[in-house]
Parts: sequence; structure tokens; C-alpha cells
Amino acid sequence: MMLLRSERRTVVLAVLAGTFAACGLLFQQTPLPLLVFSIGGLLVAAFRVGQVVGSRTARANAGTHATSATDPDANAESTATTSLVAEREDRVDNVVDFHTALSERGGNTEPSTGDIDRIVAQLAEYPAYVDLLKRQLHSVTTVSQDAAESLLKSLLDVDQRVTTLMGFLQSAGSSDSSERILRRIEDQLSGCRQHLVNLGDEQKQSSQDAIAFQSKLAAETDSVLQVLDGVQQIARQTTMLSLNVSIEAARVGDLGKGFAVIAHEIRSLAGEVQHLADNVHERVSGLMSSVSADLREQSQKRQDTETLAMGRVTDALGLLTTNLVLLLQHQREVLGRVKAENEDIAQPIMAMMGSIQFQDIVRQQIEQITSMAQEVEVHVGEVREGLATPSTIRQVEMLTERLDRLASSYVMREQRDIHSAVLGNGGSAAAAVVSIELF
Amino acid sequence: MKPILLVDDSTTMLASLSSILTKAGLAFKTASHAQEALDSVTRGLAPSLVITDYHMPGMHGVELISRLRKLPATRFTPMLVLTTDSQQDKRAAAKAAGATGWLVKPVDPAALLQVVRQVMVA
Repeated sequence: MMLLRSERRTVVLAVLAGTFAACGLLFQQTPLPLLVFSIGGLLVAAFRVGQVVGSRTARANAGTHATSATDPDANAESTATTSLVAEREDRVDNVVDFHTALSERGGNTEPSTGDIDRIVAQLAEYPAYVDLLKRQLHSVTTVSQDAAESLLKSLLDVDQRVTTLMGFLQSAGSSDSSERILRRIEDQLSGCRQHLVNLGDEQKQSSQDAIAFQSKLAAETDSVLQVLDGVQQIARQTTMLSLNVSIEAARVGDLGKGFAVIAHEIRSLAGEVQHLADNVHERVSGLMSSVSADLREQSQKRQDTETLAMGRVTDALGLLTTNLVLLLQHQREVLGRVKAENEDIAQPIMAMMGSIQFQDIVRQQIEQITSMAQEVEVHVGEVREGLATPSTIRQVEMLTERLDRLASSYVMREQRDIHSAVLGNGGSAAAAVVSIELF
Repeated sequence: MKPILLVDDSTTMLASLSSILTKAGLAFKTASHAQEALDSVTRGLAPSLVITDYHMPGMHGVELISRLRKLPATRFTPMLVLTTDSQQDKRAAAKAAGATGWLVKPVDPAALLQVVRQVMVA
């Protein structure tokens, strides 16, 4: 009977060994999801081993020893285990139907001592596989941690550069700085306006000087004309005097003929003087009128030109001030946009900094998987001892119980959900997680 | 401004939290295990807030909170547990030990900063 149970275990454990070996091979070049899948297969197969071994032990006890019918514990164990195996078979499609395989073998179902030794030798290799698994998992943890730290470092570098750039843009175009520049420009414009005012005053003074010069010129011209009037008066009096001399010369007869000639010459000379004086008077009067008109025209023309120029300069200064205000307004809009962009960039960077936390979660999940592998290793060790010492096989704890006990240390709801879905235990799957709770 | 004391055995978590607090302009100190945090407070550190992981080698986060509550410098300091663990019984234990709140990883940075400012003001 003992050999029969051992043979059945041989088949079961061979499947377990194959699964475990496949996990080890897959893990060497396998990404994390496939690794997790493989580990899941390992655990299911190991679970199956525990169930089948327990089942076969109970069946063998029930079928071989008539007295076992009186052992209520053994019967209960057999019934319960068979029922549990039936439930698991619905979910584990790739597990060999050991019942059928065993029945097909017929008469000689008990393995030889050599077979047992080979099975024990096979199982003795499991610690090495588990060690390999743990080392590979540790490697995954290390790689993911290095990657997360590198990612975070790059992220901080990007954030630092963006912050520096935004800081420079804001300080370079800060409102205070712009106000200072604008005030300086406005001071300069104010100085320009004062220059224009001074220029206007000078222009006014220049016009007044021109008017004064014109008056002075008119006065001087009047003086000249008055002198000419005197000359004309003398010429007229000389003419009258020459006429009187001519009259007196005629009265004295021949003796006066010489005086008459002299008087005539004097009268002619006075007439020429009168004519010259009139001519000079006319020319001086014309010159004064011409000069006055020219002075007025030039003064007005210059005044008009300067007034026009000053108006244009004033308009240009006003336009310049308006443009400066527009420039400042545009600058403020740019700064506002820079600030908004800075905030928009900061949010995803901050979110990515938080997302790095995934590595810590993965690390803890891998630690849990490592613990499971450890449990499987211990369980396989106990099964191996049970094969070597069949009387102790009933003391071997079911792997399900081990894993369920381990499930009590799950920290994440997702782990409990998976455990519950696969093994039907591991805690409440429906409990919602409150992410933030303040007491 | 008093620093925030971050306690976590994960260098990734410490780096993540440090960068978030730095970006928010908040000062902080870090400790990679509970005993280091206790030693810092014993040596004179008076944090404005303690954010601790739960699962750490040597001493878990709730035990740390319980011990910090007995020290004068942190008797009334707000303390948050930031962990992957979401089990209700552990939350209750944390509350009994004097924790101010319980946050489950991964925590959104904006939500974390909101809670930090909320408990620090309070």
C-alpha cells in the first residue's frame, strides 16, 4: 500500500518538478508579467501536489484497510480533500488527471526503491531552484529600483532646468524691471519735451528780436528820410533865393546880368539837389518797406516751420510713449503666459515624481512572491522527508494552508483578490480601499 | 520652518517624496528606518510633521509613532502613515497609537501636499 501511494506521488511530483524547472528556465530571460504567470503556475501545481497526495493517502487508507471505515477523522479528511480536489480541477485545466492515469496502470502500481530514491533526488534539487528564483526576483527588484532612481534623477534634472529657465524669464521680464525701464524712458521723454518748450521760448524771443530790429530799422530809415526832408527844404529855399536874386538882378539892368546868370545856376543846382533828394527818399522808403516785408515773411516762415517741427516731434514722443505702454502690456502678457506654462509643466513633472512610487509597490509584491517560493521550498522539503519516511507523510502540512497563512500578511487588496480568485481564500476581495484617511 | 521627517526603507520612496516636497518648497529630513528617526528626534530634531512607512525592518511605522508620542519634541506633532498596506485593523492600530492619518501608496502628489498642508496647519 505504501508503494502504491508513492507511485502516485511520483507522477504528481514529476509534474511539479517540471513546472518548477520551467519557471526557472523562463525566469532567466523572461519579463516580469510572464514571470508572475510562471510563478502562479508553480504555485497551482504545488497546490495540486498537496491535494493529490492528501487525497491518495486518504483513498489508500480507506480502500485497503477495512478498519479505516471506523476512523471518522480519516473518512472526513478523505471526503473533504476529494471535494476540494474536484473544485480545483475545474480551474486547473493543465494538470494531469492522476486518478485516470493511476487506474490505467492496472496491477503493478507500486514504485521500486530505486524510483523512490530518484524522486527524493529530484526533490532535493528544489532548494537550488528556489534559490535561483529568489535571486532572480532580487535582481528584478534591484533593476527596477535602479531604473526608478535613474528616472527620478532625470526628472529632477529636467525640472531643475525648466525651473531655472522659467525663473530667468520671470526675473528678466519682471514687472518691477519693466517699470524701472519705463520710468527711465519716460524721464528721457520728459527731458525731450522740456527741450521743445525751451526751443519754443527761444523761437518766441527770436521773433521778438526780429520785430525789434525791424522797428529800429524803421526808426533809422525815418531819420534818414527826415534828413532828406531837410535837404529838400534847403533846395526849395535855395530855389526861392535864386529867384529873388534873379529879380534883383533884373532890376539893376546890365549890372545885374552876371548875378542873373549865377542865380540861374544856383536854381538849377537847387533843382538837381531837390531831384536827388526825392530820388533818395523814394529809394530809402522802398528799401525800408522791402526789408520790413522780408523780415516779417522770414520770421513767419521760420515760426511756421519750427511750430510744425515741434508738433511733429511732440506727436512722435506721444506715439513713442503709447508704444512703450503697449510693449509693457505685451511683456506682461508674455510673463503671464510663461507663468501659466510653468505651472502646466510643473503638474505632470510632479505627477511623474509620484508615479515613481510604483517601484516600491513592485518591490513589496516581489517580496511576497519570494515568500511564497520559500513556502513551496519548505513544503517540498517536507514531502521529500515524507517519501523517505512514509510514516511522517500525514504530518506534512497542506501547501494550501501554508499559502493561506501567508496570505494573511498581504498588504495590498490586489494580492488578496488574486489569492482569493486562485485558491479561494486570502481575505475579503470586495473591501474597498480608502486611499487617504485622516483620523 | 521646521522640517518634515520622512521615514521609509525604500530609497525610491524617499527620493519621490523628497522631490515632491522640494518642489512644493517644504523642508524635510529623511530616515531610512524607524530607529534612525527616533535617534534624530532624540538628538534634537523637532519636525513639523512625520510621514512614515508601515513595513520597515526592525520596527514598523505604528510602533515608531507610538514611541515618538512619548517624546516631548513630537508629542503633539502630526504623523501620517504612508504604506501599501490597506488593512483596516492596522489602520485602527495606527489611530490608537496616535497617528493623524493613513495614506495608501501610490499617493497622488497633489493629494499628498493637500493633506500635508491640512495637518500642518491644524
